[in-house]
Amino acid sequence: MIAIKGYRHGLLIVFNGASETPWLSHLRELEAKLDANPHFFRGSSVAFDVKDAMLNEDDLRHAIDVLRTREVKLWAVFSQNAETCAHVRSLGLTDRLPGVSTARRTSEQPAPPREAARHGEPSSSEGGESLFVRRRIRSGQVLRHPGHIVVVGDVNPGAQIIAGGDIIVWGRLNGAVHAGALGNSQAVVCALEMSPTCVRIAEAVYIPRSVDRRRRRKRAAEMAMLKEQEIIITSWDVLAYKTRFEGQ
Amino acid sequence: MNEQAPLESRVITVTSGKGGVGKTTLTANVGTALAQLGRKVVVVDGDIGLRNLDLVMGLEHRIVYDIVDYVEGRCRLRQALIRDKRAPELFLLPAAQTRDKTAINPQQMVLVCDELRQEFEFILIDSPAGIEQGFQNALAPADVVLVVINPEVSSVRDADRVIGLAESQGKQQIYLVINRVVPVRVKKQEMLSVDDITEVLSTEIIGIVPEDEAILSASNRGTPVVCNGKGPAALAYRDIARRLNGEQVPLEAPQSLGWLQRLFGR
Amino acid sequence: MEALNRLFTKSNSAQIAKQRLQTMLTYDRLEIPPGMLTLIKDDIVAVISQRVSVDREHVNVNLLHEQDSSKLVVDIPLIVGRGARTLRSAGAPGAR
Repeated sequence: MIAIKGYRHGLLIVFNGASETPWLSHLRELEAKLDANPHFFRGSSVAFDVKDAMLNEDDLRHAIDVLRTREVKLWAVFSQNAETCAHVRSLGLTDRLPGVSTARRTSEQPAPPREAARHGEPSSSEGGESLFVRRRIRSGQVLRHPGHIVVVGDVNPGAQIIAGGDIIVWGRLNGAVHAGALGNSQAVVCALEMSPTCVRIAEAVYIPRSVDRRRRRKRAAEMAMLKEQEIIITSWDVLAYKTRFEGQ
Repeated sequence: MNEQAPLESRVITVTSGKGGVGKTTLTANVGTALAQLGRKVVVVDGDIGLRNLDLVMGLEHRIVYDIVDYVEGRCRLRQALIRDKRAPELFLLPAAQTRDKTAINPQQMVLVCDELRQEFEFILIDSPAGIEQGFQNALAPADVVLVVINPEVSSVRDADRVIGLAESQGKQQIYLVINRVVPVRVKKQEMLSVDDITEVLSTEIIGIVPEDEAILSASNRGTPVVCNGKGPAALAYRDIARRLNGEQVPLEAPQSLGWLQRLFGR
Repeated sequence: MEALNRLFTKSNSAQIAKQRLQTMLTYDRLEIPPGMLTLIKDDIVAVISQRVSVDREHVNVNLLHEQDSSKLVVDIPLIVGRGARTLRSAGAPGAR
């Protein structure tokens, strides 16, 4: 019933059939999703799409608490119901997608989260599709998306890429990555230069030693994947990539 | 035909992320050098609570009012500006010493700069270290961002963060200054080379300033090195000023120095 | 204040720095801007000039900082017939 999607300002949690089920059971479902994949969500800012549900301030505060204990921040709630929107605004959240010129924003409604390091890259509203980013990802920036993430550019040390699907870096990967962060152990990480500070796939973690990282530089393209619950790095035959996903 | 064409003014914010890399010295020297080239220049101390720019420029004894006094309406802008007599049109807008960085917000900084744009061609803002409010204040009005680094790992990492923040605020003219380079140490591979730095930051370099012992005594005296003109650092600062002023100055030291060749290799 | 700086131009720069630093710290502790002295001097001259003739060029207002107290030391040469007599005052001890 709850779908997790990515859009130009970050994560969007969609509550389908919101008005037919009690809000409390929606929140239970949300909690379960958050607790199943804590690393994916921790530190993120999310927006809700509650469709036509009627929510009062207590409902919203309850949701905020559920999120806060998992280090997730709620910054917006989109609703088709005018009363719900009014309650949202009275709690200091935004109920509208921000306009084009953020410089003229009034101080009453919060700006979209800065952690959405997307610079407004367009992204499909379907959570399963890819986020495509064509620039260098710098230290302190976090890309977070429930589907695949493709970066054409380098990922600097101090940057983080967190994807529900695969992560493909068409450049140097020097930062931290987490593929399959919503529980998909088939996810892979590929890079033209694989020198990350940390690789996670689903629940597994691999932190290379700095001597390994130095050796990896200037090697040919490589792929990290889970094999029998351990992360291994093999050479990535780029042309074979397509086959790998079709055959297996 | 007596109308004056509106001044083409640029706000240049000098920042770094990490402290102690030489922002204030750079602001003082490049500001002075621009004024020596005949431009109307004001240098603004963005470090509220820990003011330094006045000391480096040797103007500390003339401070009566500061930027917070102006923002809070206790004085006119002209009263807070201190004229540096060493150059034709060089002024300092000092920071407050007894307040903290929350005394001004970014919107107010933009307004102050809008006022300064009426009078000055170059407005250099010396940003405080860090990435909190002081930095945000200095960044808000910037047309150009100069990121100062020392050729070592933590400085480069901090600079990357700062560049990312500046880019996310829509700043497109971002340049790098590599400060306090010691040629011998680059050769020994103790200091990062330009290639190393460029690979991580991929930002255009607008100046490379060598370590120069003249800087310390200049700071002691309150006389920026470009005032007396000697030494490799003074030369480098003047080159940065010339580039900001629109001149094409190649990023190379005279052959006799030779150190830059080693700097560009690995 | 400028006179003080000129006095020291021939010393090495560390001494100059130390001098400037001591002065700056005094002002910082007292929380008055250093340029204020010039304004105070002008104010004092203006007031005293209403009663007696003052040798404006040679008026000196300085901040003296001792262990626990700070003082404004004011030197005001007067013009009285032939030769000048000096009005000296050590007023306004600084709050600490």
